Amino acid sequence: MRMLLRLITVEVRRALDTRAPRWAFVITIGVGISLSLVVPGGASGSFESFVAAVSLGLPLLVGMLAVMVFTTDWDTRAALVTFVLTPRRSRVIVARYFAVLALTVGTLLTIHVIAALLFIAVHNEAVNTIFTIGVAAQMASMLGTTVASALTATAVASLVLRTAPALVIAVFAPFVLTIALAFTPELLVWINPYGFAGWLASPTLRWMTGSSDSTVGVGPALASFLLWTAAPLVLGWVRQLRTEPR
Amino acid sequence: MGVVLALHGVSKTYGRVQVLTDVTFTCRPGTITAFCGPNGAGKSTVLRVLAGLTSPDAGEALIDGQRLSSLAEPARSLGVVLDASAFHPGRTVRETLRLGAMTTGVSAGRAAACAELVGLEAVQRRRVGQLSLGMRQRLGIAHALLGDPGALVLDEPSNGLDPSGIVWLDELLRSFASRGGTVLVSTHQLAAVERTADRLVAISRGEVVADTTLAAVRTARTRVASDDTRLEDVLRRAGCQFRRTGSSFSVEMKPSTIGRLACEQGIALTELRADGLGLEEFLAAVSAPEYDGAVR
Repeated sequence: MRMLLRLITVEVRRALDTRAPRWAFVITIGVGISLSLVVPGGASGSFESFVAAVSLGLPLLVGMLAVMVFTTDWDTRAALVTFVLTPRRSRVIVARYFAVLALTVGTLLTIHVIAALLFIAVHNEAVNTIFTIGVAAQMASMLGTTVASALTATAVASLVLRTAPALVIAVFAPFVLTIALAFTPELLVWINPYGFAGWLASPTLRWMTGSSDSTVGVGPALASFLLWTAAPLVLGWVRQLRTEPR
Repeated sequence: MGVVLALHGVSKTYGRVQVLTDVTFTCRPGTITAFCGPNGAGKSTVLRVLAGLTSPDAGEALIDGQRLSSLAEPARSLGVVLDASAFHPGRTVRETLRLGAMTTGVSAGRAAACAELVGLEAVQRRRVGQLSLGMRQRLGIAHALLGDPGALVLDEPSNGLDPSGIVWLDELLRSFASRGGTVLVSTHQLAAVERTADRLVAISRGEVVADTTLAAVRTARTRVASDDTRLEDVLRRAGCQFRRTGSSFSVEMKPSTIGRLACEQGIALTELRADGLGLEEFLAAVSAPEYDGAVR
């Protein structure tokens, strides 16, 4: 247990001690704050709407962090060092799952704290809207969405083991598609002429578009989960155990 | 302090290519074992098997009788440097060593001490990507020493080191071995092997072709000469292999044995000296004539 805690601490630290994750964090928060100023109700409404605007990029940020936790070692050949220090690779992989979870929760809390401080600075008169049941419920919902997003990114990254393709597949493509569909809904008819998208779309895409499992059906939701999360997680586990670091 | 590194019947195949065949040798505490062989002979694969990065198809690599993966704290038994460029280029020297120390379960103070030991204390804030190859080698060695291991496995550690760095490395390895540590070092630097190694394991085309001491390599032959014509008969009767070169003989026998034989026969010798093969000659003699690309 002590060894696992040690490895989780190492993985969390490794995820944050280089420039890329720090800049990703700053940019995501910066964009969120900027959006909060232009989204209707963001800057002038309650804390609930304010934090929702600031957190818009949260799934994107957490997805990027999750991908980097699993791929950076392989991109930089540092896996050679990691697995020499800890030859039992399953320990490292398990520690990385927990590290992604810790980073997800930590990032969510950090964003809420930053948003609260900003909100107090901008809307001193509406401080009482920060600590409400509505905010707590929204935070819980956001946590579920973010953890699920991180899980998909983790699954794809652990299978692909390369940062660029994993980011494109698990993070950027669903994000871009979500934005594209929001602006041009007719696009869905074009890319989904036979209605299979519900079965094949990544859960990240579904969570981002706000569709719930009740609207897409249990079958498509399960298929999507198996395709984008369960299968890559299992195959990625095997691949990480077997791949020889170069 | 030292631990025994042992490979027993290790074989490995990649696709159809047999990379290692029944590789067996042992490195004992207090010794430096040089691991030599032509490019592509399988040296790195052997070291990767020892480090637990590559699973052999047959045989096993043991650290004090146990598989590396079964040790509770592997980095405290075995320190490994396989590639000095395998550290994240965006991390500082200090951060790289601190992460290693955390993983190994030793203090940040130990990380600082190791940086100082290898002469990197002045560049601890520098990113790994900004270091020269020689500095990265030093970082790799510091990283390997974090857990104060009983054995070191190093792959071409003198690559990129300047002459003073090579001398420093020789002294470090000798000091480590003199405290009972076990060292296995893969290298093409035969001068360094001559200076530091106690044993030599040579590999060619995935097979161990020599496992001997440096002393044995040096004293494998003796140069002997005498004005007494009976010497040739004495050597022939002793049943040893010898070759006449001018007025002297090159004999496959220890100098002390030849001296005793000559003394028993009352033959005065004008020359008697160890005439061991140079390491290069020895390795060339035991290795396959050329690399045929059979090994990755």
